[in-house]
Amino acid sequence: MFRLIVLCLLFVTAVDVQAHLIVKDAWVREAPPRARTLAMFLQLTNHDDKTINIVSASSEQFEKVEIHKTSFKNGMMRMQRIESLEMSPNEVAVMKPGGLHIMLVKPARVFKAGDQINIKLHLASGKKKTVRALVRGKAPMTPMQNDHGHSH
Amino acid sequence: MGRLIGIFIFLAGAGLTYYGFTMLDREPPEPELPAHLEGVIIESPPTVLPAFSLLDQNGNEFDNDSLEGKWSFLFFGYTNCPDVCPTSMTVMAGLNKKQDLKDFNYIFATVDPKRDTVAQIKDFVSFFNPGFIGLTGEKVEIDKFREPLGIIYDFEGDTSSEDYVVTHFAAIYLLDPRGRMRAYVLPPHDVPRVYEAMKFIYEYYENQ
Repeated sequence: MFRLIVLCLLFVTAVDVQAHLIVKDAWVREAPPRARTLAMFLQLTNHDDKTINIVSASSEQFEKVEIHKTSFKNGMMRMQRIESLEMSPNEVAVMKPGGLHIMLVKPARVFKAGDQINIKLHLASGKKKTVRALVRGKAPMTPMQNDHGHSH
Repeated sequence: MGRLIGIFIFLAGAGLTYYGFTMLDREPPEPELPAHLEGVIIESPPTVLPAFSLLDQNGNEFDNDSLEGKWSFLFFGYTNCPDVCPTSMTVMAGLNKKQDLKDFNYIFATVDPKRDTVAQIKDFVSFFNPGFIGLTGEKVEIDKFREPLGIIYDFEGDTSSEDYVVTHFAAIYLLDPRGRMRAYVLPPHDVPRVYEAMKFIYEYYENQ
């Protein structure tokens, strides 16, 4: 009985940890077969009452995973590495083309549309958050859902 | 008297010929863009490119003559670019689906020839559209091509490794059938805006 309670407690704790950082609409843009880098886009929401700090990221499918930010100034495109992404309570971080993205460097193999890519976000607290994303082919600028509206 | 008439006819003919030639080459007034189109720059008179010699995605020579006879869209970038270059290339692929822009050259040119070999360029452009042209070559030749267009770039990170990023000017250019740059659209790009701007400018000059 005691063991069961402990198990239940562990389960509740585990769910709780996962719930702090909510991941939505994660996808990876399909890239040419020889591409050395891919970009993942997603939406993160901090559902914790404390600030969450994402300090690094990793994946078994890539040599390196980094958070990057694209910015435009007078027609110049610049990509900068974000060392850590701090999110205050209830803050939403939208990663989309032309802005924040997760850069996946040196894939272990070629990923095609429909493949799944898993990464881990490492938080300053020591916790890790797993993100699962599907590779989308020839991705349009806007998420797929938005495109359906026009075709009707 | 007969000689005078002869001279007169000669002068009139020469004048008409001269007038004809200037008419051919006379720069039409700069078109007025619809006010809602932002980040669209028209070059009037157009920018003429100096002689350059690059390699296309099949390793064939690509020079000024290769731009003759067709309108072209041109975008500079590097194939290791995960976000902006694929977005702009996807927009170029979207323009290519428009019936009135089908008969254009669609060109991607690298600013990173060290990593972007002919094979790498072919892999990149054909992913977006097998009919697209990809250009690389000697740095000095790329410089001749990009400098007059105002393409500036900067490497960030360790360029002796494979891991560096390139900050670069990321406009989509419009070149006329004489290989002269007529206009460019600043990023970020989306199909409706770039299509409207390019169609407007291209049709204006076609109808002159």
